[in-house]
Amino acid sequence: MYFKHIELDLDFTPLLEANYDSHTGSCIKHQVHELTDIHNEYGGFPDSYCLANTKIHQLWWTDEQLDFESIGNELNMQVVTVSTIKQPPGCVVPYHRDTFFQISQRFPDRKERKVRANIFLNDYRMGQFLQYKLDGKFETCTDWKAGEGFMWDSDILHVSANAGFQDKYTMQVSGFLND
Amino acid sequence: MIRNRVIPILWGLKHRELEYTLDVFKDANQESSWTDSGHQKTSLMIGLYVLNEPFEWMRYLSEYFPDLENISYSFSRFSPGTYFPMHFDRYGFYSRTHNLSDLSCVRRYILFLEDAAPGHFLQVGDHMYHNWPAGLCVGWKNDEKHLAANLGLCNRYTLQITGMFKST
Repeated sequence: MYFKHIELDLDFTPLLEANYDSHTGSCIKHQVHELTDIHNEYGGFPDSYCLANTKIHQLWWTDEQLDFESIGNELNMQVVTVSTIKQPPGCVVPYHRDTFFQISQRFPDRKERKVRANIFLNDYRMGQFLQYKLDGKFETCTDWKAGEGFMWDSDILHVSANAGFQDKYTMQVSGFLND
Repeated sequence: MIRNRVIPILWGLKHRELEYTLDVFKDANQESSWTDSGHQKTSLMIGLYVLNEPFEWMRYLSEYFPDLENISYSFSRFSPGTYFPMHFDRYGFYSRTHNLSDLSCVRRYILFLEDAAPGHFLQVGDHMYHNWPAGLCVGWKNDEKHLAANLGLCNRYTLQITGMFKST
C-alpha cells in the first residue's frame, strides 16, 4: 500500500483553459467489469449510475506539451501518462481502485510500484468531494488548495464526486514510483 | 449546528422493508437552480416514508429529545447517485400539519440507521460527516444549510426527526 500527500508547483492555467468538450466519457465503462469484487461487497453495481451522472471530460497530455521529467522530479516518480479531468456538477466516479491498465499494457515486465498522483487544479468549492479508504477508515478531503493532492497505488480505494455548482478539475499523473 | 446525540438502534434493519415513495425537493425554484447548474433531475430524488404516528417500536426515541415538542418522524432513503446539494429545509408538510407560520423554533435531526458506507455524506454548514456509526444523530436549526448525498454503492437510510424547540 502506498499513500502520500503531495503538492505540485506548476502553472495550471493551460490545463484549465483547454477545451474539454472534445471528450466525453463515462468513468464506469470499465469499472462495471473490472471491479466486481468491490461492487459485490455492496450488493452489486447500482443501476442508478449511467453516463449522465458519471460523466467525465478527460484530456491526455504529451511530453511535448508538459515537462514530464520536471513533474516526475517534483513528485519522485517516472511519469508515463498525464491526463486532466473536468468533472461537471452532478457527476460521480464511484468507489473504485486505480488499475493502471495503460501502464500495465505498455510495461508488462516492470516490477516497480505503479502510482498515480491526483492533483486538484482548483481550490476547493462547496459540494466537491474526494473520499479514500486508508488503514480501514474512510477519509474525506475537502477544503483543498490548487496544487495539493494525493499519490497512491492500486490498494487505495476512493470515490470522487461533484455535488457542487462549478466544474471540478483534477490532474492525474501516472507512472512508476522512484526508489 | 446543534448538539449531536447518539441513540441506540433497536429495530435492526426494519427500515429496509418499508415502501418508500420517491419524492423531489419541495421547492421548484431551488430544484431549477440545481438543474441549471448541471445536476440531473433523476439524481435529485429522495425516497420517503412519512409516519403519521411512530411505530410502536420507535416510542423510546422521544426520550432522547426532551427539548422538542410536536415531534414527527419520517424515514428517508437516498439511492446510490442521489443527493440534495447545499440547501435549507422548507418544512412544508410539518408546518402545514402544525399550522406554523414562524419556523424559527423548528429543529430537524437526522438519525443514521446504518453505518456510513463509502460515498455517504452529510455536510452541515462547514462540517462534513462521512464516517458515522449507526445511531449518530445530527441536527440543525430551521434554516441552517446542509447537503445530503449518497454518492456510494448502497442505499443510505436515515430517520428524520422534526420538532419544535421548547421555549423555557
